[in-house]
Amino acid sequence: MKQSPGLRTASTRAVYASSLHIVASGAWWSALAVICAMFLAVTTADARVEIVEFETDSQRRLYQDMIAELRCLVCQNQNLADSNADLARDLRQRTRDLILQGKTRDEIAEFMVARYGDFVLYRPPLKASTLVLWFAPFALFCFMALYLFRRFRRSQQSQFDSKNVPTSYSSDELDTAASLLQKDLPDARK
Amino acid sequence: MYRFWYPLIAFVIVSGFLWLGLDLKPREIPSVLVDKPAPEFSTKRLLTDNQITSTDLIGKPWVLNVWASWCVACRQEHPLFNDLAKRSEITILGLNYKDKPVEAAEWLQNLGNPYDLIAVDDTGNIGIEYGVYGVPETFLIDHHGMIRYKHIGPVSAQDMEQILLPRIRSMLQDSKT
Repeated sequence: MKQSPGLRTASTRAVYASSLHIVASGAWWSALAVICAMFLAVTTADARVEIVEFETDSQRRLYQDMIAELRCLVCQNQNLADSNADLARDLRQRTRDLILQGKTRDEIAEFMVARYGDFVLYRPPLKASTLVLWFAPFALFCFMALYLFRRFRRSQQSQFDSKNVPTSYSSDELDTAASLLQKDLPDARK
Repeated sequence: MYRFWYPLIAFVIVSGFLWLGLDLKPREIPSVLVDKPAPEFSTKRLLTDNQITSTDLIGKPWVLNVWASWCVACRQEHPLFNDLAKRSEITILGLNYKDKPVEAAEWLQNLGNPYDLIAVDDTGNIGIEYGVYGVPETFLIDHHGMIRYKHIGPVSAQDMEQILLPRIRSMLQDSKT
């Protein structure tokens, strides 16, 4: 164990030496350049702003609502508005086209559902197959509330059950109670 | 003293749900287009000026395989389609999805061309009509022009043998009777 510090220094030296070697070689610089280029590429990709033009304000609002309501099918946990996926861009474009054609909110939703299913909607429609999805949480809540309510009432009942409360005390019990009170009372008064 | 069993029962129920969850594939969105008419399209054939119209195919069953040269998983399933082209008389239509025609042609030259026809979908609009959300996807369409099956993601050898081929055979049989 005593040799371990020495060993560590040796290995640290080895690391320095190898990193120096990398620095000295051109590979390091090209690697750095590639990394920088990657960051640059990412930044420019994110900075790209999609300019979407509409004729009226209500069209623009509908567009904003729709792309917030529709799910990106590739990323699944993002809506069309948030997603950078290729398909999301195509579907945003299609949404815009449909709006410019004068389609209503329902018609656009119908268009998407006909091709991608209910999954494309963030709010699933209420129908036989989605009943559980919609009502299971409420059912579970009611069940738990009922259970807790009954449990609470039962514990309250057992605590104040008239059968458990003695109606008379022996003199010994009264003495004990009195001595306990005497012990505690002075403290409480201070 | 049944109450001591409650945690165990709860554990078994939760484990049961988790066990079922292992087999779910949330990535695979069930297609609403199965048993619906295949959306019609008319587009260019790859590297030609000829048009291809999907309704021309009515009368015989066909396979629609959505692929692209940039798609890595397509490479994985491609040998199986080469094989299918040799083994079956079924018409295989490749939908070249958002690809560069030259790269697509090169890709086929290198890996083999199983397609009887190749339709170009450079904008992805045909893909949207078919509810394509990832490449590759494969559709089986019968001689009435109805979509009979949709496979999402790369086809494995097992998928081909156990799911696609039996369906293709029965579609061919149906079209002849």
